[in-house]
Amino acid sequence: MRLLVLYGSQTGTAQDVAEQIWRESRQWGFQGPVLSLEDYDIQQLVEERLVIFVVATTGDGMEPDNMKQAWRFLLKRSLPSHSLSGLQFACLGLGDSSYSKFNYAAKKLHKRLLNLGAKSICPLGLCDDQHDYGHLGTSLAWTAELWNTLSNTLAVHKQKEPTIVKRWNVRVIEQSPPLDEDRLQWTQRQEAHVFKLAENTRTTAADHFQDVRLLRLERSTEAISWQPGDVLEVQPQNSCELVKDFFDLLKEHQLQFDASTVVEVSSAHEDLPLPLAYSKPLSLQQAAKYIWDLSARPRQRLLEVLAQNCEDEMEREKLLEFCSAEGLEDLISYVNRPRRMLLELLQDFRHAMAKLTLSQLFEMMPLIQTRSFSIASDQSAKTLDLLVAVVNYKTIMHTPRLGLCSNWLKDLEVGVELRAAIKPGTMTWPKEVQTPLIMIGPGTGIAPFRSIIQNRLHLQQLGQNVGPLVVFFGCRNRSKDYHFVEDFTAWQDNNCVEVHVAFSRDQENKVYVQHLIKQHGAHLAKLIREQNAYIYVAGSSNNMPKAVREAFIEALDNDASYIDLLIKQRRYQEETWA
Amino acid sequence: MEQFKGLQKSLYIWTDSGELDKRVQALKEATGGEVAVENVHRLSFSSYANSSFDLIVIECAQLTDNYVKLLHMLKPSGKLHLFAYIGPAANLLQEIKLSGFINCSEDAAANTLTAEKPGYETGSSARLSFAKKSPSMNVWKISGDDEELIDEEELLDEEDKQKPDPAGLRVCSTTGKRKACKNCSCGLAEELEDEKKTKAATENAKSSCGNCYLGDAFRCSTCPYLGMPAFKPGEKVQLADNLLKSDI
Repeated sequence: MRLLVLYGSQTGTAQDVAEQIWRESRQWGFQGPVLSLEDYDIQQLVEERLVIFVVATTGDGMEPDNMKQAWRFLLKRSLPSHSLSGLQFACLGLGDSSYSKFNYAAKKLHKRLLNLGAKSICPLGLCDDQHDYGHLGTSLAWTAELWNTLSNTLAVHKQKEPTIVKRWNVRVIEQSPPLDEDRLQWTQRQEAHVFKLAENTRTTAADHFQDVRLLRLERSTEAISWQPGDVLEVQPQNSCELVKDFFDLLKEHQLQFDASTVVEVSSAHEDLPLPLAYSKPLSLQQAAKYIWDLSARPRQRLLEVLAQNCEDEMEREKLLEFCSAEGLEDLISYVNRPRRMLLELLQDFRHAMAKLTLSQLFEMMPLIQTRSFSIASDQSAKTLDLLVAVVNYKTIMHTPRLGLCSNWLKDLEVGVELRAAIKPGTMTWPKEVQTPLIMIGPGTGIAPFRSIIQNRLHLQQLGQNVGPLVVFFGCRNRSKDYHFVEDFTAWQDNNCVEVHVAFSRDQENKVYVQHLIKQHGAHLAKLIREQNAYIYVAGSSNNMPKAVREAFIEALDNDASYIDLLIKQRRYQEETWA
Repeated sequence: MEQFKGLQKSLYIWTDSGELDKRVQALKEATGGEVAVENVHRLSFSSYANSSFDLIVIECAQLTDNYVKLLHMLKPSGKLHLFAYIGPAANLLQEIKLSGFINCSEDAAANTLTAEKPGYETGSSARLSFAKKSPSMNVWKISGDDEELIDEEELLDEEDKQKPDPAGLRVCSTTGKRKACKNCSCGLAEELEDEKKTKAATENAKSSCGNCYLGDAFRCSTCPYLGMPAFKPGEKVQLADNLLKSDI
C-alpha cells in the first residue's frame, strides 16, 4: 500500500524525522517515497490516499523555504472544499515555543487540509525545541501512535525482522576523472551569486569576551540587488582541523577507505531524489570538507547506522539504547546537554568505528546546512555587509564549542570568493517613506536597521521626504562592543537619525534598551499614535523581545491590546534568533 | 440471493453498521461459504490479494472508480452484486462495464445490479480514458499562479495560537533510572538485583567502576573524566591541573 511522506524543512531536522518515519513505514509494509514539498508535484495530492506531513516552522511563524510554493498552491481559493475527501493524512509540526508563533506552519497546514475535506487519522503533533528532549520529546511518541492507529485501521503488521533501509548506493571509482571542486562550495538549489571578501574585521575590543565580525563583500556584478531586511544565505565549510581529525580517525581504525577514495553515489530508490552534493563523483576529502557536517549534533539515525556493523556487544547495545524511547534521557545527557559533536561521538565508539563501511558512512552523515545572516547595508552602499557574532562557548566538554558557520567566516581571508544567495527576510516596510520607523536592535540585531537607515538616508539625498528614524541600540560597554560606532556618531551629528544607546555595564545599574524606551515613552507614543510609526525589534530571542514589548505597552498607557492590534497590522514586527 | 448458493468466499462491503451482523448472516446462509466484511470507506486502503473472492456484495453502492479494484479481487467468473444502490442504474452499469465486468444486469424490481468478471484472469486492466473524472480533480490540475488565495491567518483560531505550558517541557534528569553497565564490576548490578529482591535500598556506594576509558556514554555521572574523549588503547590519561582544584 502506498504511503507518502512529505516534509517542509529548514535546518534538516524535519527532513530527518520524515526520513525516519519513511524507514519505519517500510517495516510496516508500506511503499512510496519520502520527499520534500518542493520535490513533489503538489497537484498530485488530490490523487493520494495516505500522506504523512512533517513540517517545521521558521522565524516569525513562517513555513520553510522548500514548502513555500506548495503552500501557496494549497491556499488557492478555487480548490473545492471536498476535493481531498479521498485523502487521509497525519501532520507532525516542528517548532520552538520561545517564538510567539509556535508551530504555525503545521497548524495552518493541518487546518487547510481539513478544509479541503481530507481526514486526519492522528491528532496534530506539535514538537517543541524548548522541551528538555527537544523534538524527540514529542516525535517518538507521536510516531508510535501513528503506527498503532494505522495498524488498527488498515490491518498492517510490523515485520518481525528489522530491515536495513538504505537511501544511497555508494560505488568506489578506481580511476577517477578530474573532480570539480568549485561546485561543492554551493550545493543548494537556488542559484548563488559570487562575492569577493573585501574586509573581515573584528568590531569588538581585543579583550572583550566575544568576537564579532564585520564582513564586507564586493559584488561580482552590479546586477546583484537586495532590499533592506533581506538575508544572505551562506554554505559553511568544515575547518581543516576537523577534517584532519576525521581522517586521522579513519586511519587509526585502518579502514578500507581514506581521504583519496573517490565514490559515485546513486539513489537506492527510484523515487528518492539525490542531493545536489552527490550529483557527481566526489572524494571523501571533498565530502568531509564541503558536504558533511562534522560538528553537527549527532542524531539518532547516525547511532542506529553506526550500530549496524558493530560487533562489540556493549557498544552496540548502548547505541541502540540511545535510539529507544527508554534511552532518551541518557541520549540527551550524552549528546544534547554537552553539545557533543558528531566527530566526538565517533571517536568514543571505537569498536563500531573499526567496522565502519563506506555505505554506512554515507548513510549516517548529515549534510551541512546553509545559514542566513541579516544584510547590514543598503544596496546603494558599495559593499554588502554582514555583522556576525562568532559562536564559541564552554560546556562540560573539555574543548570549547565552536559554531561552524561563524568560525568559518571568521577565518576567511580578504580577497577570497564567496558563493551566497540573497533571500527575503521577514520584515516588511511601510509604503510611504514619510512613516516614522522605530527600530530596536541590541547587539548584532542592529544589522538590518543599518540597512534600512542607509536606504532611507539615500532616498533623502535623492530629494525624498523621509520620516523620523528612531533607533535603539544596546551593548555591554561603549569601548568594547559598540558596533558601527562611526555610523551612529555620523547619524547623530547630522541630526538625521535619533540614536539611543544603552551600555548595560558602563555604570553600576544595568541599563538595557527597554529602560530607554520607557524613558522616551511619551515621545514614542506620539510617533505611534499620531504618525502611524512602525516598530521593529531584532536580535536575540531570549528575554529581550518580551521586555521591549512590555516597555512599549507601558509607554502606550498600559494598553496591551493596542500592541496586539499593531502586531496584527504588521506595525510591530520581531525578527529574533536563538 | 439464492443464485449465489455454493460460492465459497464472499466479501460483504457495508455502509450502514446498524444490524450489520444480520445482513452478513443472511449472506452466509445464502452462499453456505465464508464471508469477509469490509467498510466501504476503508476499501481503498485495504490490501486484498488478487482473485480472492467468488462474490462481492455491496450495499448502498455509489458511482466510484473502485470497480477496477473489485474486479481484481474477484476470481475469474466471480460475481459482483449491488443492492440498495444510490443514483441511476444506467450510470452505475456503464461504470461497471467500463471497469471490465461482463453480463451486467439490472433487477429493477429488487433494486439490484449483478455483474460478472470474465472467465479468465484479466492481468492488468486499464480504465478506459473516456470514463469521466470528477470535476474537483480538474481544478487541481489547472496551473497558473495569478489566482486568489485565502487568508492563511484566518485558518487559526484563538486556541491554535496558544503556546505549550512550560511546565510540561521539563524532564527531571535526576529521576532517570539507575542502570548498571553491561559488564558491571562496580557492584551496581548486584545492588540493583538485591533491590529487586528485597526492595530495600542499600547504602554501599561503590567507585572505580572501570568504565571510564570507554567514554562519556559509559561513564558515571560523577566521573572526573566527563567531557573527555574515550581513551585510546595504551594512552596515558592525565587530568589537567585545573581539574584537580576545587571549584569553590
